[in-house]
Amino acid sequence: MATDTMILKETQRKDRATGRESQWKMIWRRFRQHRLALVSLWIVIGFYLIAIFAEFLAPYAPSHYNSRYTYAAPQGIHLFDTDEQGNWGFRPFVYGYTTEIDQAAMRRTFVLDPDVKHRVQFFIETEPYRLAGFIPMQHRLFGVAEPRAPFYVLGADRLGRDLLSRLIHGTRISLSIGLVGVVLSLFFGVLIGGFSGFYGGWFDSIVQRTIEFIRSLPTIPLWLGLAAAMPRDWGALQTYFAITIILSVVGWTELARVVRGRFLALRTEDFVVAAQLDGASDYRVIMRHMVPSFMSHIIAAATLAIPGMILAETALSFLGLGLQAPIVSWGTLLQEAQNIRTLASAPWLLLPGVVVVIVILAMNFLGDGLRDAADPYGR
Amino acid sequence: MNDLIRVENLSKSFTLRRGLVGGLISLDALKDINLAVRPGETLAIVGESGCGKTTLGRCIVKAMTPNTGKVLYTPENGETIDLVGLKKRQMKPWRRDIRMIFQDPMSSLNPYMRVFDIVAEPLRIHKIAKGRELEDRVATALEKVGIDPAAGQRFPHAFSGGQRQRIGIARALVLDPRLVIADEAVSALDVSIQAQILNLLEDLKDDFGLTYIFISHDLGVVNYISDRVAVMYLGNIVELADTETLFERPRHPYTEVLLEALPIADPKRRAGKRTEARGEIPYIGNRPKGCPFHTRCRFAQDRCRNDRPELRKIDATEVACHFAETIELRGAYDSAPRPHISQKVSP
Repeated sequence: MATDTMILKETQRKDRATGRESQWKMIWRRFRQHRLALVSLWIVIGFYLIAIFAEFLAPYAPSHYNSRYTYAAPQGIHLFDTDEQGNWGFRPFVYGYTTEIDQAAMRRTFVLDPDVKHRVQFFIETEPYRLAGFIPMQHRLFGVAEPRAPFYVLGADRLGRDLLSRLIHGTRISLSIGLVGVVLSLFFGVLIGGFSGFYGGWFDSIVQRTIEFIRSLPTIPLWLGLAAAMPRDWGALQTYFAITIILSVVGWTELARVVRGRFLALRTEDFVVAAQLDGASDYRVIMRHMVPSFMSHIIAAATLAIPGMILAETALSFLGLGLQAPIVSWGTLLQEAQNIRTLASAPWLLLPGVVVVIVILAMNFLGDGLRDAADPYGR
Repeated sequence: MNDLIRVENLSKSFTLRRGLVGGLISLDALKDINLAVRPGETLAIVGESGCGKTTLGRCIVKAMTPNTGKVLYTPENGETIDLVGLKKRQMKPWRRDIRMIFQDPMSSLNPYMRVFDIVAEPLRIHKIAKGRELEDRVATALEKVGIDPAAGQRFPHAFSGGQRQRIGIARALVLDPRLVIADEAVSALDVSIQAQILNLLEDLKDDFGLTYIFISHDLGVVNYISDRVAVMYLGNIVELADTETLFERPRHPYTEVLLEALPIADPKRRAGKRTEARGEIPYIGNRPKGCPFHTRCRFAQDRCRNDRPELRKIDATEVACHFAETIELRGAYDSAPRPHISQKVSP
């Protein structure tokens, strides 16, 4: 086993020295040297895993509420405890709540009660659900055993819904809207930008002027207008796709520019002319000779476009024009934190904003790292 | 014997737009080029940067389409085909016969393809060979140019400039072409490597029965490899002759200037002052009326400023100069002091 790895390492080293290493291996080798990007990659992967396994990871369904515990403060999780015999060990638990009436504000507040402990159990059996919508399951990663006990690790909102669960479910919507939006933008961007750059001429002029026009529009009013034009009676799924399309209306222009630029640069490149002189068809020239040269750039550009999409969705939903209430996204969660009163009494409702910042930063670093590594030949 | 390629009245101009709404300007990169390439010869096209030699090469391989004129190609079956009018599909079979070697060995090989695939690409496109046969043909081509076929699994960046140029040559040769256009094929290489590549090209010419159009600005290299030389200036051919004749007895003042610019290795022969062209090469958007060279020519007279000289035959040379018979020019092999001018020329 050890010798196998050694032989493998040896061939890798040899490949590098003799120039047999493939493009993707070189990119990966360069990318790994970018520490921040590497860490960001893991963060991003982590968040996407959360998005995929949302139902399993979240203690509750996003709509699960308990009106006895509105605006309950975060409990946090305590990992170590002593059991009845006084042995210290890994026994995660949360404290229960006691209610206090704030006479001045005429309001109930929840205070953690150190005398009540609720055990946290892993792989706890709950009501059946479908993972990612189609895998039937009956267990969640963790939860409290007593069904009536409060379990608000990151606090509760105004209806007594668990913020952590909603955050986890919101991750799925927000991250996927970025991804779907970018895929859509990428499709139109590559298609239109590719034609524009490869064939040039009047088509190129029209496309470029159109892009300039779209980009000169202030995005927020444009999105607002489009979102306002969306019928109110559309269902959750329809709104979701409508929003991705609205975001892509602007999103494709950036990518179209990148693609066109690469096409223009490559079109006069000698190896592309050589391929044309070989008698290669346009399709072959593009797919075999041009696309591999800018694929890595496109991936980097797309990665850098995702955070923009996520932010746009968050902004739209925050303003109440994006996704609507039953759908949980970071934007709709932040909507809860819109007024000062809530912020003063329940600051934990701003947590979705923190998550947005973390993910956006990680994606930007990741995109930067990819862009730097994308050109392993340093051309 | 039939010419392999005959270029007739070929003109190519580029249109530029000045600013966003400005008018269009037309730049004549090539003007009325007539040229014949005989089978088995090496025809050099020389001239300084921007004279249109690369454009001419690209028009012949149909990497560009000329505005007017013909490129007549005679394939093995003896008929004559005008390549200019051909559609992409119709051109494809002739792409096997007419191949090109590029100037910059760094950019002419796709950095994302392995060398084997680069050389195999033409064979795959023309569906000539596959599997075992493909491997054999690529290996043979690589061996011919002195690259170890086992290195085929490497990427181009692992090779030196000279090796890359060899790979480019292998790509050109793998289709068994008849005509190879080498556009500044050795200009980007070290002098020692240049000699290797030139010798390789010579050897391959004999092996494959090739014809070369050798585009270069380096007269030393041209003298070494070519049978005939066409001198270009501002999109025109100004002189066309056998290499020997051209170097010994240039007929066009511009040719003399080029020859004088050749470095002389023997210090004893570096006698006398060199003839230099006055001033700069004019911008092609602003082509001088009359003879294109008159702004820099030391023999220029009124006639040169008004009448454009046509290419005409004097002895074994074709030259485009009104006074080709009367002026006496110094050849490259001369060691004599400055030549006298038989006719007193006043500016």
